[in-house]
Amino acid sequence: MSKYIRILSTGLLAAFIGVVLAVQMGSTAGTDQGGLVPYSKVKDYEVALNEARLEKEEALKELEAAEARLAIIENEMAQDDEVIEAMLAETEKYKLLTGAVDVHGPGIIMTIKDPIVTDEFMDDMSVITYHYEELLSLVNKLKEAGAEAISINEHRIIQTTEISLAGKNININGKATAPPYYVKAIGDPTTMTNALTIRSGIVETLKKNYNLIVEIEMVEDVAIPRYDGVITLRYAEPIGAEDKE
Amino acid sequence: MKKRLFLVFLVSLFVGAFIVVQMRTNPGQMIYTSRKAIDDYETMILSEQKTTEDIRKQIEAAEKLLEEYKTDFDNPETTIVLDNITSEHDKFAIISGACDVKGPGVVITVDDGNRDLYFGEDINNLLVHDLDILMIINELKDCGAEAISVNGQRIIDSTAINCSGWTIRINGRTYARPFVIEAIGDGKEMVSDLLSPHGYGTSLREWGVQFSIETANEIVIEGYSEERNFFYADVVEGDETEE
Repeated sequence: MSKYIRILSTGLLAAFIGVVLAVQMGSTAGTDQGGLVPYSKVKDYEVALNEARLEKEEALKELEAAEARLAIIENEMAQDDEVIEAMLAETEKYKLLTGAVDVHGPGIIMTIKDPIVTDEFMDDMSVITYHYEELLSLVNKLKEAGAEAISINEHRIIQTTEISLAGKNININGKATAPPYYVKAIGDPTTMTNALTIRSGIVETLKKNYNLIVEIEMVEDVAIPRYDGVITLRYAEPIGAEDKE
Repeated sequence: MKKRLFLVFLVSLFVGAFIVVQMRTNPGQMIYTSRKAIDDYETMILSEQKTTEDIRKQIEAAEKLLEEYKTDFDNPETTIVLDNITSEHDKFAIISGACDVKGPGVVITVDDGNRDLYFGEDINNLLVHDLDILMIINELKDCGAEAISVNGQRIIDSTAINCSGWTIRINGRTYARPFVIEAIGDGKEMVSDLLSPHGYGTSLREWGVQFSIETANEIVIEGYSEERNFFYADVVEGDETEE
């Protein structure tokens, strides 16, 4: 009887050591940069991200409503004054050219994803983040192909937009962004697609040199949001804007 | 007896380890992802929250302005509404690149390198390319440049810069070396950024390209002269966004 207890307890102990060993090995790998995490965790983050996006959209709607109220008063003033009326009309035009207005139209949606991780040591740094100048080059090529409005991960590209490396992320319009990157552009879909997919062009470079997963989709209608930051000018002053126009 | 005990020990060790391995792998279905994917989600969530905060601040500012507008109507001596209309007009005129602007900033000159080539060196190392100009402009924007021009051509939101043989095409016009880039903004910050050890100016100099940067008290940058028409983009109308 006592013989069996001994065997049983040794067995239990050994099983326990086995579990501890395996857990130990697994968790050491997990604290590494390249460790793996359960996919179910991603779902939570996805939900949180969607919530954050919805909240942003609600805030944007509120802002638009507030701006509309301001516009009512401004327009009331414009009724008695032609100069103000002209100025307001011009401001509207400039806003459109600046990118401070939501626009939609035919165009393309481009998806850039980091290569699929095959081993634990590969994903220390995002490939596309490290080669952020390729994004800059991509935007430049879209402009050359006649894009009228461009956004990257819903950040509108305007005159002052920078694409810069900040730590482990790319900052666009001063906001941190992370892959996957969704680049939207309004313009002639065929021209833009063909300009990007030319042999040895940007898409081929991204795919062959960096193993990125790139997809281009031509769409009949793509919505590009307005610039959502605050524009503050501290140095530039206009010269004779009135007599020039 | 000892042998049996040892065998049981071994088998149990295996079984224990096996259970854990089994729990961790489930082929055919993606149940693990890289740590970076989570980081990416975190970055995006934080960024969206920051954007929302910024928008809330804008709403607050708009509501404050609305109050001021209302008092402005009662008081004929103040001109808050008119002032705001004018400042908004000027702001968007500058940012859209429609009007000439002046202000303090920097003047950058970039030219092809004139040193001798090393044996077998590619001449491209010494030439100025479109990406060089793009990177310089990008760094200037990162430092908060408010208006930029290259060889007098205003950089607007849709400006493309492309190498075409011996020349560079900016806004559809052709320019050749040397390239003079002017930017209005915080001159000191722009100089120190471009000439920092990781700055693009430093990299260009290391390759052998001529790069010089100077601050200037007043720069005049001309507006974008051509008419801009949208053929594809349409404004999202008010009723679609439910105002």
